[in-house]
Amino acid sequence: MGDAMIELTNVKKGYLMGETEVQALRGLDLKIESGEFVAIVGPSGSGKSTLMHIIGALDVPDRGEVLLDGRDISRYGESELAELRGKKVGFVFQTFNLIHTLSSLENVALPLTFQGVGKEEREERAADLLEMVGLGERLKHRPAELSGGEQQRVSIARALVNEPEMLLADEPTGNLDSDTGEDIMELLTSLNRDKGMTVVVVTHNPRDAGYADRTVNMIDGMIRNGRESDGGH
Amino acid sequence: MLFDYLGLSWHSIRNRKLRSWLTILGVVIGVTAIVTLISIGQGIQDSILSEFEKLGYNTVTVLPGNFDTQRGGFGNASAGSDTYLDRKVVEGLDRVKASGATRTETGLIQSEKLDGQAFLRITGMSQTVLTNFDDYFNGFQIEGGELFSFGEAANEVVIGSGTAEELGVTAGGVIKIEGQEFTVSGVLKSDDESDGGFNFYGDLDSGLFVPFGTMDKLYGGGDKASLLLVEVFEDADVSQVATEIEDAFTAKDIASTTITTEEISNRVNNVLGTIQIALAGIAAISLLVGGIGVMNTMYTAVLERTREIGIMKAVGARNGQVLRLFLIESGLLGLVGGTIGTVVGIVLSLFAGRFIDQALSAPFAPSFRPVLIIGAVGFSFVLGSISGVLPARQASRLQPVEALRYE
Repeated sequence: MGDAMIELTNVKKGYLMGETEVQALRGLDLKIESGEFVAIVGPSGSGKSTLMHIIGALDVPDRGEVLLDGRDISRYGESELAELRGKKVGFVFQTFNLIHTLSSLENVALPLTFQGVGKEEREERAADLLEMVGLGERLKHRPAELSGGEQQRVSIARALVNEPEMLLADEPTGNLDSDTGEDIMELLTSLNRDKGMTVVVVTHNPRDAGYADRTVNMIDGMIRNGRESDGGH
Repeated sequence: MLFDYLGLSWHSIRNRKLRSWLTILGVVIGVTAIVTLISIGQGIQDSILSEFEKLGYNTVTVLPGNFDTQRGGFGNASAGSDTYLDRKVVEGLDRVKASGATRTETGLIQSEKLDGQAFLRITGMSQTVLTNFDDYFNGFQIEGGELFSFGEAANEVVIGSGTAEELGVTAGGVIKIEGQEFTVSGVLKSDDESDGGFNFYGDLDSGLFVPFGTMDKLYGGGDKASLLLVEVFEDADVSQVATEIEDAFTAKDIASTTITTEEISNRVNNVLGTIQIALAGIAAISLLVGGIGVMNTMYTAVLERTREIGIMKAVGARNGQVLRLFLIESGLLGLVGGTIGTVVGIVLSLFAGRFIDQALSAPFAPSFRPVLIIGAVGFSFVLGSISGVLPARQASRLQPVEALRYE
């Protein structure tokens, strides 16, 4: 294992649900090393997604420290967070979150647009990645013309296009049948193993968690002590 | 970079075609109204001014009587005025290069073919009117026969084509004016431009024309003139000479009014300019409505695409980039509307121009100045962008996590 990719210390985050404040994270500590494959598991409402959002610089905590590559990002402003999202992290969502008016190629190339990369290079990199995830023949298809598994591959390609240091997947198999889900998990595993990518997967599927090097159990906004376990895939 | 954003914006506009087109239609109507009204207004202005400019900027027109030119009473030189000018008065002035005189009376006309007699307008003109102010009578083109000779004492008359028809004579024929026999030396070419339009001389087709001296023979009065055209030396101050002319007439106890081309063009510009601003203002209201349409559409688009905005932010889009994306999109709605509106406006005013051309005596063409075209298209882009500012700001400030959660 390498250096700490991300380190959370006493992170707290609350939400207003109507009038009542819900504590999603209640003083959470977590450390993920560079090159690790970590699964975060736990029942719904345990704060998994909130944790994921904070790791992925989509949100900032109310309290506590979030070190990404040694820098505290917990007080970052909007544009600094946007820069992190654009360069350091790649997101894979349960619902794929592809833009349905754009083709696979355009969806994958989209993050590069915001980094000011020229059209030619964007499309070349996007095409390479789509090739890598096995969709070399599907560049011009729109999401609606693709199967769920194919859409998730497009979204993985999109997450990789900025060459991030870390891939975050929030229930990546949640909307897929089990065979397709396994394919996706295999793909994430190979990214971790072959390319050294840090991969963090949020899941409530024990089978998915089995692919990871390490499983982090969450409950009630905390990591359940002693239940961090090494995966055995 | 800009082109990438344009591409993305264009994508989403095309993706909701009907709504986009309806929004664009709102802008189109406003821009069409503005382009049509301004180009026609400008065309009318140009047409009127060109008519006066034929006289040249160094020409002073002198009319008898105290017309209040402020109220635009320069319409017809002979109308309702029983005073005359004396053509000798202007000839003595320093800075006058040349002067021409016309005198118009109503003459009792008889001819063989005509049953009984007719009262027709008869105009006497000095030779200088044709030599120095040839545009005044629109070239005075003779179709049949020839011009009368100014110097000789022979009774010769040139008549308009309508008059020729009415009197049943052609060139070489004989008619009687105030009982005296006159030979028709020539018939004027039918003049499309002269029917009731912006000129001093009235309808060329229905008049009779004789040398200035002949008027004295017919009606007496010597140098009495009903209109003088004065050509001023190029280096002279035209309005100053105009004042001198008025003063010279005042000294002789003759009321006179001078009109300079510059004065007329200023006044026409003023009046028509004001009318155009008023019309453009009305058209601008419809454009404003179009802008509100764009704003409405963009607010809906932001709501609809909340999730998309969340995705863009999740993959690294900054607030400013999302803002720009939406601004360009609304600007595009304006730009497309403005471009179509300008084209429709041009077509519409060319079409309307044909009718106006028939209604006006002067040749009319709507005027499409580059500033109007560029202004209309540019303004509609700006209008679209401005209408998009608030929705785009709302979009850019969405929290990524909440935007992604939006169903």
